[in-house]
Amino acid sequence: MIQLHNVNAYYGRVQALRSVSMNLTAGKIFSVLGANGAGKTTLLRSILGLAQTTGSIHFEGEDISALPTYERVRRGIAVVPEGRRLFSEFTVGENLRIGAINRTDRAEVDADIDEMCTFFPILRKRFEQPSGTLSGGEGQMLALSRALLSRPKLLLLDEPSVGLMPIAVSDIFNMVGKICRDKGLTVLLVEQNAKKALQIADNAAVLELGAVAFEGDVETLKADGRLKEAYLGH
Amino acid sequence: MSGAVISQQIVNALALGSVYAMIAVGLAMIYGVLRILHIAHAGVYAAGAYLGLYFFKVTDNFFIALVLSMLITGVLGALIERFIYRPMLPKPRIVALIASIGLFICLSDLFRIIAGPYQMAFDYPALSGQVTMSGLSVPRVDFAIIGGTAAIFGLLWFIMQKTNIGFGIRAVAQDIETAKVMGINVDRSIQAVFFLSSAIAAFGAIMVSVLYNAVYTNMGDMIGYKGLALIVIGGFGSLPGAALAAFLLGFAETIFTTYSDVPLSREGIAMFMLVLLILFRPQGLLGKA
Ligand SMILES: Nc1ncnc2c1ncn2[C@@H]1O[C@H](COP(=O)(O)OP(=O)(O)OP(=O)(O)O)[C@@H](O)[C@H]1O
Ligand SMILES: [Mg+2]
Repeated sequence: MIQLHNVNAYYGRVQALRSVSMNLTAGKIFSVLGANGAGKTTLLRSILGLAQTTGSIHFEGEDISALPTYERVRRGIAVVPEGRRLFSEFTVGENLRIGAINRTDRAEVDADIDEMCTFFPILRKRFEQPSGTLSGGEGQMLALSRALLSRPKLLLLDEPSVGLMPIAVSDIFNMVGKICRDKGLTVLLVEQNAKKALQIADNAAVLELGAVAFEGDVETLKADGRLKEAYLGH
Repeated sequence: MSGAVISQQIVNALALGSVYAMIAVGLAMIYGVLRILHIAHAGVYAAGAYLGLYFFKVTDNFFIALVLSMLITGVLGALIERFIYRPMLPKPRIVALIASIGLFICLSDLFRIIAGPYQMAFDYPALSGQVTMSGLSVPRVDFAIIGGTAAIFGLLWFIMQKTNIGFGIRAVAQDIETAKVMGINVDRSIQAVFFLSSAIAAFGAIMVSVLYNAVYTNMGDMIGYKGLALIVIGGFGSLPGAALAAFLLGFAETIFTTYSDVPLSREGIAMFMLVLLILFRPQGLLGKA
């Protein structure tokens, strides 16, 4: 459903992605693992049109690599950005609504908001409060709900587990897994928490210094000595 | 001191504050989305007055002239954003600031070349002159200014709080990149901000031209400087803060120039307020620390 072909990304003269090619299957969770500075965030930024890139990116058969960010998003890509990036002057409710800003089906939007609030009750409790009052984990739930409110076909998640206690990580991953099963959402999950990521992923790739070091389905990777040694700790 | 005199002063102060508020809120909106000080807004303001006068002469209909000038001045503002600020955004903000100063100077020279160096009269009898009733005497145009400002701010509030365009603008003002990934056409939001602020400036400029019966090349300078001071006083980028600061300034100026012997010009008062406030409340009236 999304194919990257020989994507290079640059920050000025610094090259952050080197000839990255990937092919994500619809309805599956694809996880990208890698150390700090490996290029994980840059990969997501490239897909969103926020980085200077070469190479091609096809989304549902269409080359989107020349489109501005908002056009890519309107075609069905959503992101939970690194560090959450909530709108701190908006209430929790407004942060949810902004995710649906391009939708015209108001009743359905309300139903979706209700669904998010049922899954994460804290959102309903804090609905009218500024999002800045949420804790880190609550903020992550809001960032995920906000992204889902655009009803994306492809969801990009940038290290959603950072700074969260294990139970909160499970909540987040359960939500992602559920939407994925129920609605056929495709997920690109960037993580350092390899153990957690591999629990829900179908396929995974490892980025090293901006290039794909190895990739494959999760069972194969788990057995692979290189991954064990570098990311799973033993 | 009679009640009539006080009412008169209140109307004067409200009218003055309204004009300041129209400029300051526009500048605050622009600062909000781009984090630039739009010095050339003073030139845009004067352009609004010239266009208003031109269309008034051509159509002989004040209302049509007002609307046409607001629309065209709005487009002028949007063009400035598109062709001057947007290409400079990747560079440090100081670059846009310098460009803005340059543009400001160019605009006033342009008015001189096109309309001549002399002050032109904006004579609109229906709004000029004084209203006198029960001892009260205020310029008739003051009422148009206050009423017009109330209507414009009402509409602006509606746009910002109740429409998708406004929702997008408020998101852009907080975090441009995240606004982009929400699917917001950020360039369009910024264009809307420039259109709105410039159209509002044109309204204010035309009213002031009628009040003083004058249109001239650097008529926007002083109000532009004050506008910039007001967005600092209000708390950078806060729209209610800028409006509040504008009305405070309107009252301060009216009170000081009427009742005090302090040898400070109106401009002196504005800058004095700015210095005092920044000393004691660096984040501005309604800004966040
Ligand atoms: N704005 C920038 N300017 C210059 N270099 C950058 C910029 N952003 C990232 N880089 C560089 O690009 C490389 C990849 O960065 P990226 O943020 O994609 O890493 P990451 O895998 O997401 O790391 P982390 O796990 O720490 O989030 C790094 O070497 C980084 O220093
Ligand atoms: Mg990162």
